[in-house]
Amino acid sequence: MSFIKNYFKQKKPSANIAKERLEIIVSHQRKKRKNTSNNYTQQLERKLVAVIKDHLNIEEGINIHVVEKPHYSSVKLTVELPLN
Amino acid sequence: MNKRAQIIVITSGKGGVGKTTSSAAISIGLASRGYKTVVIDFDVGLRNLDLLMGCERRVVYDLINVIHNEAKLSQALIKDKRVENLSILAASQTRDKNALSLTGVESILDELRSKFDYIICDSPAGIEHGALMAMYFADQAIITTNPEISSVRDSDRILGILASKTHRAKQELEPIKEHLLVTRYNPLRVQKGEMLSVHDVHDILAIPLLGVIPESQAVLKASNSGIPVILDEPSDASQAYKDTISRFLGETLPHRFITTPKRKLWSRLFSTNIQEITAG
Ligand SMILES: Nc1ncnc2c1ncn2[C@@H]1O[C@H](COP(=O)(O)OP(=O)(O)O)[C@@H](O)[C@H]1O
Ligand SMILES: [Mg+2]
Repeated sequence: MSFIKNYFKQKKPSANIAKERLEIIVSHQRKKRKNTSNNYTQQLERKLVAVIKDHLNIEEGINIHVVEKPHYSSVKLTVELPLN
Repeated sequence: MNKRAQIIVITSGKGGVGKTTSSAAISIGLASRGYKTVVIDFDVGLRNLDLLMGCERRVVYDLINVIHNEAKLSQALIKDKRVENLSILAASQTRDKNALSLTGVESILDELRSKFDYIICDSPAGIEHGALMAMYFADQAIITTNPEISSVRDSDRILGILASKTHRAKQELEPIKEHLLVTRYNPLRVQKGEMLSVHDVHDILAIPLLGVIPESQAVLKASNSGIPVILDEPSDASQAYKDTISRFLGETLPHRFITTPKRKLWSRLFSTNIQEITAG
């Protein structure tokens, strides 16, 4: 019986293995991209504002400007310090 | 009249998948359809588009010369002798990829944009500076992919870069239009289960399928003689590239050369038997 079964049961084609591996690889890559690129600068912005507000105890006068260049992004930050 | 050319990058991540072969074919295909087309070799240091186009002996000035103001664009553009409406801009052989600057590339593309309908950018391999320069200002991207695990993975990485590092991404403009071009396809190996099928690749990358170019002996013959394969009329690769151009221009065509060409007698007999059995 098992001899007949083995005869008909062929080895899994390597193309199918490749597809399964790729599905996993690509879904990982895409998840990672979603988590990094999307929110990276926004997160940084939010955290910076929170820290400054907390340390200086101010609500206004914080300007954050994000410049995106092909090889790097820069964040320009100006804070108006209260006179006291 | 003010033209504004579409910039199309032929890209892949992985090397040796058929970007330059496809750049030559697609630029000739578009020019033959009457569109003013220029094809630029961005593979600085390893230029070979001029070889595939058969114009290597006519290269006097190249992309870098123009960027460094050592030559005018009009001096560096090589007019194709076979097809009207087609010009070639060669890459430098002596400098390295870092000689390309974003502002330099931008100013050349700006100048070309007013003179042409299509600007085809043949990208170098990799995901670094040279590849980024080729794709940065693109409106559309043709992701050239072999049915092979590393090529598909690299194509997905390129999709990520197109969506985050390019001009359109940074300026939050309409995203680059993506097209999948599967090249070096071997239907027989797919049938045997040895090669990813075009459906598998299409499923995984999930971008619109523009064309499937079969693995073809005509391609080597074409590069030997400096006559791009699309001009080798009866060949399968030529027909597949022509179909690809038609689809790019908006026509709907079925994909050819994705099943094994001729079945052997016994398998034909076998399948008719099965049909008879299931019919009866
Ligand atoms: N459809 C095809 N059939 C057979 N060989 C091909 C095909 N497309 C490309 N090649 C071969 O693959 C190699 C790499 O092609 P090329 O266009 O230079 O790739 P890339 O520019 O992506 O590095 C060349 O030797 C070329 O002749
Ligand atoms: Mg190439």
